[in-house]
Amino acid sequence: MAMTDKRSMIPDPPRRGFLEWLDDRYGVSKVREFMRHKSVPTHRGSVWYYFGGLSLFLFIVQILSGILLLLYYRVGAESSYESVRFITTKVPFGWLIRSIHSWGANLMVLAAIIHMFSVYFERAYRKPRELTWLTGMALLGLAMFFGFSGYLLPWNKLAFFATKVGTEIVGVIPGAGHFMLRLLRGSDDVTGATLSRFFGLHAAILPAVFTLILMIHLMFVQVQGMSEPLGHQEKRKPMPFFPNFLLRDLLLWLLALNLLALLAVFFPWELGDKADPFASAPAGIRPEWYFLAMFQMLKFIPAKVLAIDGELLGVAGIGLGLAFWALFPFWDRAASRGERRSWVTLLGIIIVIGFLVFTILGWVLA
Amino acid sequence: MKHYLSFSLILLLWLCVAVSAAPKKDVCAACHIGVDAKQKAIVEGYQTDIHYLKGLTCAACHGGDLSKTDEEAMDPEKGFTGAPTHQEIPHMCGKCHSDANFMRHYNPALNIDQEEKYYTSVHGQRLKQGDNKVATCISCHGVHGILPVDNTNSPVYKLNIPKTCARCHSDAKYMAGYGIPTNQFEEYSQSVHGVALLEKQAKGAPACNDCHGNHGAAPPGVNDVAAVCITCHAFNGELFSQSPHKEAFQAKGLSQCAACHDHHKVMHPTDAFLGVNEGGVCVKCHAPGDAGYVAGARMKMILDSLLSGQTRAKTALGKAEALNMDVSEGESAVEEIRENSIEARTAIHAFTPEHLNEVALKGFTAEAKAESLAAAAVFEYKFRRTGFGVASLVITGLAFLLWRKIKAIERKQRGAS
Repeated sequence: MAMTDKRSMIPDPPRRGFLEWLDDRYGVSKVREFMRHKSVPTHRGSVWYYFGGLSLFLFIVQILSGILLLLYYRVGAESSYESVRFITTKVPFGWLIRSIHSWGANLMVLAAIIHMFSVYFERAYRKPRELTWLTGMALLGLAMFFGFSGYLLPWNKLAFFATKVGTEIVGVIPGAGHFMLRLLRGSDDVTGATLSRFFGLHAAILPAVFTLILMIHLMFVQVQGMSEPLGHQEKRKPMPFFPNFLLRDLLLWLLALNLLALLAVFFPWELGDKADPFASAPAGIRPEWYFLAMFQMLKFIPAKVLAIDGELLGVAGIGLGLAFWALFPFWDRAASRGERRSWVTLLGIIIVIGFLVFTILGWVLA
Repeated sequence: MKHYLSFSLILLLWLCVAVSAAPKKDVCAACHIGVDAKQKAIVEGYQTDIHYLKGLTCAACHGGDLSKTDEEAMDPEKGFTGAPTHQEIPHMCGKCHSDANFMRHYNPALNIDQEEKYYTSVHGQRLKQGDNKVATCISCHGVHGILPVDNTNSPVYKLNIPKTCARCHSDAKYMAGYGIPTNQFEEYSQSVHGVALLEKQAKGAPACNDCHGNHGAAPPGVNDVAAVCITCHAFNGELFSQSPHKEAFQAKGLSQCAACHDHHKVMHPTDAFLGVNEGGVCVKCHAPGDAGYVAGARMKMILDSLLSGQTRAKTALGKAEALNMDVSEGESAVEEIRENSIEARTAIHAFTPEHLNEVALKGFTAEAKAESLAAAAVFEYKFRRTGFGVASLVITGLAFLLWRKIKAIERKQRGAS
């Protein structure tokens, strides 16, 4: 009894939580403080902010589903198709993972494209966010290259010929074309060597580069915060990032997950027939939908334009157009001064309509 | 001067070589082309003859003195033999074609036993007996315009053989007195072999000579029919020779394969051939109640089960495929049944239900596998949709709770401010 009394006289050490424990060591309270004060502007166009987060969520889905596919996928002209068939028919829920990975890739590119155009129309690329725009463009380009390299991996007939046509475009570049074509394919034609290269790109190099640029992109967003639209006059109170915006993001992610599951179950991604390099090309070869506009534009260009090779002219034109678009923050100086130029909006509308029209034409005419 | 001599020497050598390489001048043609239309045709026809192209002149067959340009060239004392009689033709051709040393200079790969074989054939035998209507070498190969066998215009080119044989064998008037039918070509043309060779131009299909022989042509004996057929239909022949029918057919004097399949009119066999129903060939010999009748009925039942199993498996997989399910493994099983049904049709030739059942077991197993895979695919289809329904319900529920939480937080924040 006496012992008990003696103990009760010693004051308990103050109760400290895990966060305090971490804070003692790593100073996480600064992060918490940052999160507490981080806010998101609210206005009529706030909804477009969610597409960046949605792209991020879909990228995470791609990474996770890709890792699961890696457990069974065996690269090689004699094993790729067979292993994907094994995944979709024998591995429990393999069909689901493969379909989610395929649909997720398409939704991710779609979300990123919407994100890019929303940034463009809101002039969010203007000073001081030029590098955020540039890193975003790099991410979109990498996402599309992810799609292009992943398309070949099941080694089916359609992917084989689509890759053949797609890589041929590189070959028209004067001087370095043939070298680049061989670098990409690993030989003069699309073979098992191309498959190995594309797999290496898709499962190792691209994820590493993408993640690095993504970190830089996210860091820019955190440091500079969300951009407000030009001439934003609304005096609505900004929304706290945590928990309000984050929970809304999570809500959208849940809905996106539901959509992915629905697409995977009701429209499972088909495998088709195994690639046969000696077979004639099947009808209706077309690349993934996000390359269709460019593909169709190249098809419309005549073989010769004033003695210049039409395909070369097309590739050069599209290349210059993309470079102009990527460097747009440096052309539209007026936006940095807070001025909204109508030609910028008009150009954006023309590009969106052109992209849609050529994509539809590419789909219908293929 | 030295150069002039060298040039003359080279020119002389070249002329010698050129003269020796050119076909020998045929002095016969110079006169015979102007004798009459028939002789002119002979001379012109010979210009395309394989013998002429190899450098052989008229004298190679007909003899004579090529150094003379007048009647003296046809002096019998100088070896002129003139046109050979029908009886002399095989030996005339055989003079060269049976001589290995001679033939080595022209076509070392060519057999040299044609004449020998010919005299073993019905044609040769009858010729010896003085029958001058029977075929000799020129009846099939032609004369004064003989083409190599691989020339598509040659009468003995694979695709032309049946018509060449039919020239005599389908001529009822010509064949009168021989006591053999003249409808062989007509029947052969309708047969599976004839359609393949004459219509589809499949050179692998048998022509007359593949069964009867060519130079030694003779009808195969009743007991030799199977031996002829198994040169192509090896498995069927092997099973037949071990079957109870082998001895039974011999005892009854039945013509092995031909007893069921016919000989010249070998039709594409259908599954109706088997069994005791209409079209079944078993009832030609077997009557209800005997062991063969029962065996035939049982074998037909096994084959029908296998084929209907293939249809059932296909239907079941079709249903699963219509649901957009991957049924490739099941399709492989159906292909296995198809292959097995071909094996089973061959296995029939053992004529025992036990053997057929043993072979067809693989097909029945494949059918069970295909049907099981189809059922699993349909189950999987339903499972996926149900699973999605449950998962979607959970996700929607979570989203709803999250939405309420957001609203609650925002209400609290508004209250606090």
